[in-house]
Amino acid sequence: MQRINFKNAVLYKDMMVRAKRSNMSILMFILNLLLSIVAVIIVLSLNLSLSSFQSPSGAILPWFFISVIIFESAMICLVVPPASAGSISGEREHQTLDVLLTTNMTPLEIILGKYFSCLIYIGLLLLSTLPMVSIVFIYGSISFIQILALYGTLAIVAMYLASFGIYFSTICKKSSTATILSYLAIWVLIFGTISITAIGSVIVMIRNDAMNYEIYTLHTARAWSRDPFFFLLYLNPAATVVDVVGRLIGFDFGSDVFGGMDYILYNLGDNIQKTNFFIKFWTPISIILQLAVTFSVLTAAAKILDPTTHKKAKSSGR
Amino acid sequence: MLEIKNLNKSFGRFKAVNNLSMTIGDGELFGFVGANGAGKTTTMKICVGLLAADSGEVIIDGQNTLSGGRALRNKVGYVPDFFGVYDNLTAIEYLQFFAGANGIWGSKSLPLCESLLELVNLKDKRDTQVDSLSRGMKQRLCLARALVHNPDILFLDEPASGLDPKARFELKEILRNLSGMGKTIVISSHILPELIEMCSSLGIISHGELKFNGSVEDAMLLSSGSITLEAVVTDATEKAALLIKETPSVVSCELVGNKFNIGFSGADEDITALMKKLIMNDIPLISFNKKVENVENIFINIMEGGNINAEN
Repeated sequence: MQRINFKNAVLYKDMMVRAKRSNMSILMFILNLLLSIVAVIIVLSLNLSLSSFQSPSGAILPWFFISVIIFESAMICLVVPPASAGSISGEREHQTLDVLLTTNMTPLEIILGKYFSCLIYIGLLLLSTLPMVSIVFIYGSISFIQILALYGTLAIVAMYLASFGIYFSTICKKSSTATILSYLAIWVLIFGTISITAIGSVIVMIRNDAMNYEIYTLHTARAWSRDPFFFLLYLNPAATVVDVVGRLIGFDFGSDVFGGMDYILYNLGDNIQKTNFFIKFWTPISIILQLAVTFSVLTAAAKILDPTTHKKAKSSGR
Repeated sequence: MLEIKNLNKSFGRFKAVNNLSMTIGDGELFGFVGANGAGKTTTMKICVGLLAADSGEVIIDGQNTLSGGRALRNKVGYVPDFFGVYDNLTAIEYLQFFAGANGIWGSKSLPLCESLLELVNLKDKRDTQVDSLSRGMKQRLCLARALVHNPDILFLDEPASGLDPKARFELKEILRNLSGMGKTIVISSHILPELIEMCSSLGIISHGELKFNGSVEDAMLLSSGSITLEAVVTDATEKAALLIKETPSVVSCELVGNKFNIGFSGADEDITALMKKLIMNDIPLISFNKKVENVENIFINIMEGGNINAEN
């Protein structure tokens, strides 16, 4: 087991270098500009469409909130790969990796330093949008705790996705290759898991000789939980966000607030059981699984980075 | 003391290091010589823990370092052949980063880094961006970086490569100072004249095998059976040629213009005797000296001559 030093020189250095670059403040400005445009469009269009007798808050808030979530999630998906995938491969490209590996830092410490510097960077970008998101407080009915819960979920998504960026950065010589692979990994996690689950469900359906039945009956909680492909969706960060958002605001925009995955499955199948364990605890299960994957991926990256653990590794220098 | 025993490393079918064994004493300035692809960098990378050996041992102060770990990292400093620097960091920040990476933080870090900058003559570049330094300065900064945790042994892979003569001179002076401070320094290079001038001992490697391990003087003696003397006269070349040729230790004599190139197998006293003989016979001698053997020839002769270990 590698010892971890909590004073991490790589983290300090990376944060210092990132802070000195102007691209972070430019990116913050662009993000907030885009977010403010979204906010203005949503608020104006909904205000105009509503009659003067209706209170705008009930209709505006969920739409604004959902727009913000989509925006922030998209921002994470777009920013995490370039922020994380250049970390180790960037050191390799700058020819500084060898000297870094001869210091007292273990490969795991180097990986964690890179990982947390990336997370802090993403976190600062997310936090910079908080004032814009706080527009919802003008109308009320969404609490600060709910906003925090949303940001917490987005932070976990960023942690999850950044681990893949770090991993690809470790195995790829070029940052560009690592970035492309990281985008691909995000694509697979979001759309691949949905596709595989859908195809898998059809296969299960055929094997169960269920084609004669109404198709949606197989989307009952019982059928879902018996379908092994269904569990792949726990690895889908979008599913986690959808579930959390559903729990925060409710997709029916009414009082019946339940998880997003409940809502989706409810609309797919007519026999959905909301009390089913796997559905009811979708968010905690998926978060625990995603954090476990994150830990495994980072540990694997540290092992790959350790020059003494892979004896058959190729070396460019002789 | 650094001791390498039966070190082997292959990349696929290619044997990069073949049963290499050598010993480097404390405080030695050791030149590790070999052609490109001979196995110098691989050997160095194994010694500093950047590559795993297939078999063999690297022992530093009685401890086998191939198991890796922080104990090894504390003992060795490494300057690779290609050194990179970070953008947006000043020289002092660069050193402080590596001090932190080696566990040196807080109040200890800044004075240490400033003293290292002074040691490598970069004190006035303290707040200069690292990427704007010249190659020679970057090389010296990398040397300071390798010294940040006060290692016992320094491995420098082709440190003078790409440096201008002034930068080479400065680097050489710093290395001599470090050697004087008791550091063991292993320098790999194929710029032989510089190594011979600077190093106390040499290791010559070819195709992964160590061909020679010993002092620079031993390398010169072993590479050639005879030495060459140069004698320049203004007149009486025929008489001088007769006198030279009749001397028993003279192996060959060649006249080019008014300069004699004399192949000589005798000792230093015989050289003195020959010079005295020429003067006593009224030969108008204007210069007489021992020609320094072309170091490239030494290298080639040793490489072609099979394994020679001066210690044996």
